[in-house]
Order: sequence, then structure tokens, then C-alpha cells
Amino acid sequence: MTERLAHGDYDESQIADRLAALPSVARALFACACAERLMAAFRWFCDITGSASFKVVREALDAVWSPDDGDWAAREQDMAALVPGDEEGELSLGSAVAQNAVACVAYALQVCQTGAVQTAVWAARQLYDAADAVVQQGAAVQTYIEDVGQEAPVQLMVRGIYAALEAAGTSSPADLRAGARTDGEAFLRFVTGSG
Amino acid sequence: MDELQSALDPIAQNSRTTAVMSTEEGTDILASGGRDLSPAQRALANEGDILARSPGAHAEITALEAAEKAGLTPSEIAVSRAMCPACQAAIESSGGVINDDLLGAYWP
Repeated sequence: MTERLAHGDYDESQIADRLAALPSVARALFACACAERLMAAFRWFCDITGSASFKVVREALDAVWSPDDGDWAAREQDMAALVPGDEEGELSLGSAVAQNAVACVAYALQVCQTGAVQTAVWAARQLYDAADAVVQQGAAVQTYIEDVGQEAPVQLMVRGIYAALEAAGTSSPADLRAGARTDGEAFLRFVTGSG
Repeated sequence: MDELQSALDPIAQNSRTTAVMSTEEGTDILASGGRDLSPAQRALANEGDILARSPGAHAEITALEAAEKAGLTPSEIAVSRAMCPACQAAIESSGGVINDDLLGAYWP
């Protein structure tokens, strides 16, 4: 089993404990809110690369937000096939974030079906990994920026994770989604270098 | 190497390649392809390990470049997915011998 990561304010064991205290519906909403935070960057990636994946992924996430659209297992398989691999041509910052975005939607689909706490934690990890990828873009070759918790993209995403945890059990899906979209637009500005 | 790969979430495990290179000097080099090592993978490093980073390059090339930059002599490398022809060629040109399963190499 994957070990839980704890780094700075990002603590997967703490996230898991809080998710475990929520009903499974709220866990699914949390995972949706995580995925929504990456969708603006994913849309930008698809626009600049000409990828047709955005529509499929967007529709899959819309389905998870909508409790009446339950064809989740098939959509989850679609997502698994759409995650860009590291070996597929030239890898850009956008493709790293795209990996996280598609994976996050896949995890949201899984949480809707199983309610599994760990799967929701993996959804959260996609935000942390995506933010780390943005931060590491500023590192010299063969070096890493170590204290990523001090970097604005990571702080944005970690705040977003805990905000989604708080709101998942108390706020409406519409409010949860609106907050996630606002964060997603802010994250896109970091991805494109305009943040 | 298994530990490094299993630090990733399940979907990432299927889409990313990791490599661990040992060197004659005793230093281990950890590397991942494409987007390089994730925070969870970096958290597994032992003191003295080199965390290799070369955005866009395959894990094997990233490790080779890190060894060269650090002035280290590769002795073995293990990878989580079969090496591509370009990585095999790069290792062979550095004096390495590819294992039959393409999941590793050694420098005699």
C-alpha cells in the first residue's frame, strides 16, 4: 500500500482521518472538489496541445458532480486510458499537470463508487503533486526545490484541500464547486506563469 | 526500486517509470522519468542519496546524467518498466550491459 505523505502543512494521515469522519457522499464531493481545482489547467493544456481529451474528462467530472448520472465505472476506465504517460513524446509542465488532472477525475469516479477514504486521499495528492510540478519548474537541472510548502502554488492547493475537507460535509455541491473553480483559475495562472 | 515506485498512487505507478542506480562509490541515485521524482518519492531518500532531475528525460537517462554530474561510476541500475531502445543504447554506450528482462543493467 502507498505510504501516506506528510510534508509541511500537507498531511495525508490527517486528511484520511478527517475523510473517515465524513459520510461517503461527502468524500465523493471532496474528491470532485479536488479534481475541479485542476480542470482549468487541464483545459489550458488541451487547448495548447490540441488534445481532444478535455470534453471527455469534463463530462466525466460533471457526471460525478451530478448524483443522477451514475455510469461511473465505464467513465473511470475511460479516464485510465487518457492519463498521459511519461514516455509519450515531449513532456511539458502542462502534461505533468494534465496527468494529475485526469488521475484526479478517475479517483473521484472511484470514490463515488466505493466511498474509499484512501482513494479520496489519492485525489488530494494529485493537487499536491501538480503544485509541486509547477514549483519544480523553477529548479535548475539535477536539483529540486526542497521546501515546497513555502511556495505559493503549493500553499494554494493545500489550502484548497483543507477548505474542501471543511466544506464537503457542510456546504452545497454548488458552493463547493464554485470555490474549487476559483482556486483552479488561480492555479492556472501559476501554470502559465502569469500568477 | 519497488519501494520508490510504490510511493506513487496507483495511477501514477502505471504511467511513470522509476530507476535506482547504485554506484561504485556507494552513493545511490534515485530517478523518475518525465516529470521526475514526486514529493512522496523524494521523501523516501536516504541520507546521501542523489535525487536526480532532468525534466522530460527518461529515468535511465536522468540517472546517468546525475552520475556523470556527480563524478560517480555507475555499477547497477534497476527500473520499474522495461527499458526503451534509446535508453538501452545510452547505457550500452556508457559501458553497461542490459539484463535480459530489460529491467536493469550492470557495468562490469
